[in-house]
Amino acid sequence: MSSAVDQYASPGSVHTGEPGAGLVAGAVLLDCAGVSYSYLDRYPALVGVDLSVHKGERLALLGANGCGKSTLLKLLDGLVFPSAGSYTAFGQQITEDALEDEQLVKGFRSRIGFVFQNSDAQVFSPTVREEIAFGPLQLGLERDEVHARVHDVLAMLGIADLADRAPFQLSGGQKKKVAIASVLTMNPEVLLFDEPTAALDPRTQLWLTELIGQLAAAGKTIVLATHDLDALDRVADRCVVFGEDHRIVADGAPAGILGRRDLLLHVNLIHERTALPTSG
Amino acid sequence: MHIPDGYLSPQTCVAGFVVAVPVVALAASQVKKVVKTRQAPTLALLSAVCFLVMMFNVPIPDGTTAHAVGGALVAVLLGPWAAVIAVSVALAFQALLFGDGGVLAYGANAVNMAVVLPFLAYGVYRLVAGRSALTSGRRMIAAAVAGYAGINAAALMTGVELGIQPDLFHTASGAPLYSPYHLSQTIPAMLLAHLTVAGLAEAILTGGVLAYLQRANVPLLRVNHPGIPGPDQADAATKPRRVRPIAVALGAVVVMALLTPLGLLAPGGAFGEDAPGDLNLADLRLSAIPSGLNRYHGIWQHAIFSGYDFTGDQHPWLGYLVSAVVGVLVVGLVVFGVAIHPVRRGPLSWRAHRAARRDRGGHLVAATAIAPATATPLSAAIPPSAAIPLSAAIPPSAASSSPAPAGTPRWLLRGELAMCPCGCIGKRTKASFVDRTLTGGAGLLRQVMFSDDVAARPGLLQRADPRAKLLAMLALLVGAALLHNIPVLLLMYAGTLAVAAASRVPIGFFVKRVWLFVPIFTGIVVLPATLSIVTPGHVLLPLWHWHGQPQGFTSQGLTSAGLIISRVAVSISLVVLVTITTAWTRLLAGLRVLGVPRMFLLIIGMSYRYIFHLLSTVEDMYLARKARTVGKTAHDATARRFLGASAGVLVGKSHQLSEEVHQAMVARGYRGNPVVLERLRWRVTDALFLVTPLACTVLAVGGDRVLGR
Repeated sequence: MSSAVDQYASPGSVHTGEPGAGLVAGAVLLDCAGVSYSYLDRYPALVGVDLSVHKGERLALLGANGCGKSTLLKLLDGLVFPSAGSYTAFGQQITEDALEDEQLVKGFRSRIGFVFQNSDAQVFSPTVREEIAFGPLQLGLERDEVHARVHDVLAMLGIADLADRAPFQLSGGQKKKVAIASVLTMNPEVLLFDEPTAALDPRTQLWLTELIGQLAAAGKTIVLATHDLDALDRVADRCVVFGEDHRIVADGAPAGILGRRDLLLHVNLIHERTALPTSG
Repeated sequence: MHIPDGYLSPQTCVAGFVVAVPVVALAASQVKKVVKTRQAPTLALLSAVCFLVMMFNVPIPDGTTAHAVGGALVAVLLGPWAAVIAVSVALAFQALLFGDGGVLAYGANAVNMAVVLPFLAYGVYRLVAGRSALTSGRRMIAAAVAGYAGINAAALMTGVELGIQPDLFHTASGAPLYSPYHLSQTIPAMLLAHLTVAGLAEAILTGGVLAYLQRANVPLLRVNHPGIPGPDQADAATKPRRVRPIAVALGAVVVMALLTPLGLLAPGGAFGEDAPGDLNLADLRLSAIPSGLNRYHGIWQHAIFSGYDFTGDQHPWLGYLVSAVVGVLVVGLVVFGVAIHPVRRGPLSWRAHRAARRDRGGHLVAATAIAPATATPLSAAIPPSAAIPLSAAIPPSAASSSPAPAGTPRWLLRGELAMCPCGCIGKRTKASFVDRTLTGGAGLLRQVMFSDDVAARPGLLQRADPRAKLLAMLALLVGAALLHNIPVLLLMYAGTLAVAAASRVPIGFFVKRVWLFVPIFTGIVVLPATLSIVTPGHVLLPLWHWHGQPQGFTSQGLTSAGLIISRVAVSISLVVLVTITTAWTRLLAGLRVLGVPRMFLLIIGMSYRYIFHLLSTVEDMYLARKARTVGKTAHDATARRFLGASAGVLVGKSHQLSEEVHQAMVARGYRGNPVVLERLRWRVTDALFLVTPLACTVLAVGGDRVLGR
């Protein structure tokens, strides 16, 4: 597979920067080495994936539906574990056993946050306020501190008026905001987003795109799975493309990836008549 | 099957709690051990499923409704302890949020539906399933039989609890203080509905969902079946001969038939033949009761049993046996229908051939309605019959025509000839019970939102601590249950009205909410009890004569009816008052402090959310199906088939969601012990809120005793 990968062939290789990418070469935070995963031991979702996520970068995962993007995000978040290969986060190998360790699991969970694609799965508490407080409370923060954080995040995302509503009464966009808020209160270093802009109206999409930029500017590392090619260069400074064989086939700056129409056609991400954004 | 407050004496309620509380507490700790934390969302989800299942009331001929419970399903999937939690959570919702089933009667209701039902069902399931493979047809039959047996056991318990009231608790003059009907009436009334409609519903639900999971999600089945060979091993080792549907159906009928006499063994001599000592009692009373039976009596008398006087005093057990036989036959037929279904899906089985041939012939195959249960959600509502003939009719060469995108079949490009050219939409048919229930679901949501509004208003009760309110409510409920004088009860009702006004609850709504419930359920139920045939005593207003005795309204009967109606009204008012002035989360916080197990509350909190999610999923699935249903359909029948077919898909879909929810919880540091935000602090005013109602209770009961019976 490594022949198909443009760059970063070896895990942890130093970022060299791409034209227009504006990268900060940081330490490797998350590192997958030869990771494979299959559902029910039968349906492969990831095959021999090598990937490093560097501190401070914004990494987009591209690929057709069902190519393994969501699975990779779940793996990065320690929710599923590789059936082959290894996954290292913050210098610790993450296995099912390792996460049994109280100390390690606390550290790991507080440093990495995951916004699910399905907000319904993520907002499960009786009220928005409790939902947003769930993460920090589980991680053992003081109640006063939790209250303060909830208050701040509600204000930051402009959803203070929803605080005492029940999540099921909210619209799709509001639910997404609550889901993001519930992760932000944990103040994680790394944020994983699974198709964050899917099924949102254009206004909320743009708001979210800007929020991601804002978070990146605040020094957060961001990994997101996305199909939104138009917004790609605004949300990411590096892209990884998955083939339908569940392997990584390309890795580079958004402009470079979007310039390779043949590649995107080959992985069935775009249609013959898809108009790609002109790189700017 | 939900007993409201006011029907059971406080003593019976206490007995109910004495049994239910330790079992639920034990279940909460057992579930932690048996069901891993990973299953907590699944459990919450199944609890929401139970709630929804109980919402789908099936109308039964005697004017009331019966419903499945879903407890047997949870018992089979996650074990009986988990089922105790799931059903008792669902019952708690109904009691606290929707006034379905009483708060004081909660213990008794929990014993019937959350304890007896799952344990009996699980026992039957284990017995029938034996060591058969996880995916064997025998296991599905076992589940269906288990559901049937479980719900009937619960119905029997309910009948017994209601039936012992008039003999144990009555005024000096003989007017029953609580439920006025005797065992001889309550048991047949309960069993008639449950041996037929509700029992079937539970059997179909349990067997159907199991059958679905056998194909779609064997890992979920493994949770509660350690060491049972799965499909792979089964192929190698115990690959059984294919179970023939007819054999399965016969087997089910035999099992039912063997179970049937259980009803005849009912305590208290419900059917006098078996207990000669009770014969007089039974003879006297049975004639009144099952009004549905009375209605049927005509049919049976003319058509089948012309020689017997069905309502008469001669053969009361006959009614029971007839209903049992009918029930058993119907179950056998349905089980047969369910059983042929997996066979048909088998590759190249003769049934598949025959079905396919019929499809090509263009006939609608009625039986395919069961098939969607096994398909993936997407294809669930597409009858296979629609797909085959159309595509088969198009020659491959003609399939791609010029302007359309390649591969679009030609039939998709032209209008459907079958449609009426005038564009008429046909005759309006009345909404099926599924339509009505789903509309009710929307109402449920509205109701919850309305409650939230009221809870946010600045009123008297809104200021009180939820714990104080809950304790005060309990005290007043017990007080109301102890009262024996109608005037004292009416005084209490006036009190609730005053408090409602002070709490800015719209009085019109409050009165309607309580009194709409009272006449519909209590009124209809109690009315016959005012007659001498149910409540013997001094006849005030003779209506007819029977063997020379005047029959009509008795003073005892009228007193009893007045007592029950006013007590039910007070009880419902109290519960509505507390729940509508307390936000759901604060109510949960209050329960937490009052010692309700954490596990229980975690499940309550989560399934509250699932209920609305499931409801909208069911609605979507139903609408999606309805949108594709054209032509004349038997409305209720279609709806019933929809329910049977979609229950499995729904559970499968929901299970997926619950897995994701669990992951989302783990991702934020959940390790099996939820930490909560809110902390309650007692204030001086809360003490006041607690002491005042307690004083009122003491005063009311004291005054009542001074007045005497």
